[in-house]
Amino acid sequence: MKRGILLIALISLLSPLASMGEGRYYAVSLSLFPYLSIPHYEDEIAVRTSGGGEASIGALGYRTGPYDVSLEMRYRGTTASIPHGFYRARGFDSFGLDLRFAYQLKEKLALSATLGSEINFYRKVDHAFASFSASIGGEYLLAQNPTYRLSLTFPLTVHLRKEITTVQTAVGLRYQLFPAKGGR
Amino acid sequence: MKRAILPLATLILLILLSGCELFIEKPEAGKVYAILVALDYTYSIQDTLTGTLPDARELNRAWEAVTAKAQGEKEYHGYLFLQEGGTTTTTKTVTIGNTAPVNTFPTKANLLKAFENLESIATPNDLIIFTYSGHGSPLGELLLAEEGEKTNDNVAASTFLEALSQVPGRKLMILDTCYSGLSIPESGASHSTLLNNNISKWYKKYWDSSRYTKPEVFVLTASTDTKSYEEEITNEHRHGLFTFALLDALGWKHPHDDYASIPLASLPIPPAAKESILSADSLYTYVKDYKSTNKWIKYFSSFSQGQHPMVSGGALDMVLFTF
Repeated sequence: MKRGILLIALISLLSPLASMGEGRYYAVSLSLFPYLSIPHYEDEIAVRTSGGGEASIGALGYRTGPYDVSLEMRYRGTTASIPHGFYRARGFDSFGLDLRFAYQLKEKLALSATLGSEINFYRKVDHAFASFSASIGGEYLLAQNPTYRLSLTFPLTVHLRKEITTVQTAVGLRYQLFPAKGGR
Repeated sequence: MKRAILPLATLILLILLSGCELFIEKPEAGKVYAILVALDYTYSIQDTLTGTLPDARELNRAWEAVTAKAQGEKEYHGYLFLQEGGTTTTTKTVTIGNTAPVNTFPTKANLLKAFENLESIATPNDLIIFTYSGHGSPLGELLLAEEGEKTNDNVAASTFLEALSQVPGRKLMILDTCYSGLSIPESGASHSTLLNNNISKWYKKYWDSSRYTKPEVFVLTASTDTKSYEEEITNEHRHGLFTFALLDALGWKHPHDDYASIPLASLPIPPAAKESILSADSLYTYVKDYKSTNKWIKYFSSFSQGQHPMVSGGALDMVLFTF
């Protein structure tokens, strides 16, 4: 935690808050979330709780004015649910592709939306399934200069599985690098 | 910004706290009933299997030991249905609860009668285990005995899945037989990656009309659509490769001179248990990892890479015991 704060402070100090990054960019996002599964089948309890983390990498991002769009590859790891009763939800790993849109509402606040699909592999058993994801959320700009932007993200994601609908409320960081603005 | 953060933080907190697991009382585990079937086929034209009877007998003891260590009622009832040697009949019977005695010769009729009797005494919190050690066919059939006959009765595993699904409680079916993976009902929401599947099938499954329901019976098998094997462990003591690993997962001891003389209290909490929970997945994972380590090769010279265990798919894992 301390290291994270130190990193943000360092970036803020070293980065003159100049004009926002523009043009093509690369992005890395990391987030953590509780994962609440609402089953479409009869279960012992109405909602099962798991946790997880997500990392995405975007090589195809473009930002112009308040608009921002990118195509990103995503890994999501979800744990097995909290043990309760005679069943528990299985944990799994997901590999997906997202199309992300963002709109800068204010100087430091942006709204983002993501649509994506993924292939999921149960971690312990050799089974796989396809699913879709949609998210909407806010992004608070922590630091920026012409080369990069660092934002705090808080997306609300709905994971649409065939037998389960889930809600994720994540908190994360997003780093965007604008290579076209670098150099002399 | 402050105005935006406050409602968001409240929403996150509310969703975090809504985890049902924290507020709903956990059900208490009930009794454990096991029906263990094994045939050595000495009487028939099938290849003789001398590891099957030790499979059933030692699993019976191992499950009893596990039940004694687990939380819950600690009451175990194991019923052995064995075909041994050249005989094609037996006078042995078992009494399941207060029901009429059932002959233990492993025929379709006797086993279905046993399930019927279980249906009348089991409760939703009980655990019902059915194990089968014997030959299987590429059609997903179990090769059972026929009373007074030297031929086999090929019975679809689905016959027993349906019968078991009528019994109240959690049900685990364990099949140590060739082609046993073909007996696992297809999940309504996921595909096995061990069988012939690909990404287009996974997406097709998402949109098709099949539905996932909580499995009435969890199935754990020795192989996929391939053969499964048995081998000698110590002098003339044989087991199915899968059951040998399963016994180890349950904390059973090998090598031993007399399986009946092992004090059950001396056995450990099953090493396959994770976070104090023994589940269908933890057994599966243990057996699968066992296959990939030299533990398996240590005992089995003719280890086959082709044999791979399988388990029921879908969103849920079934908890068998909590310690």
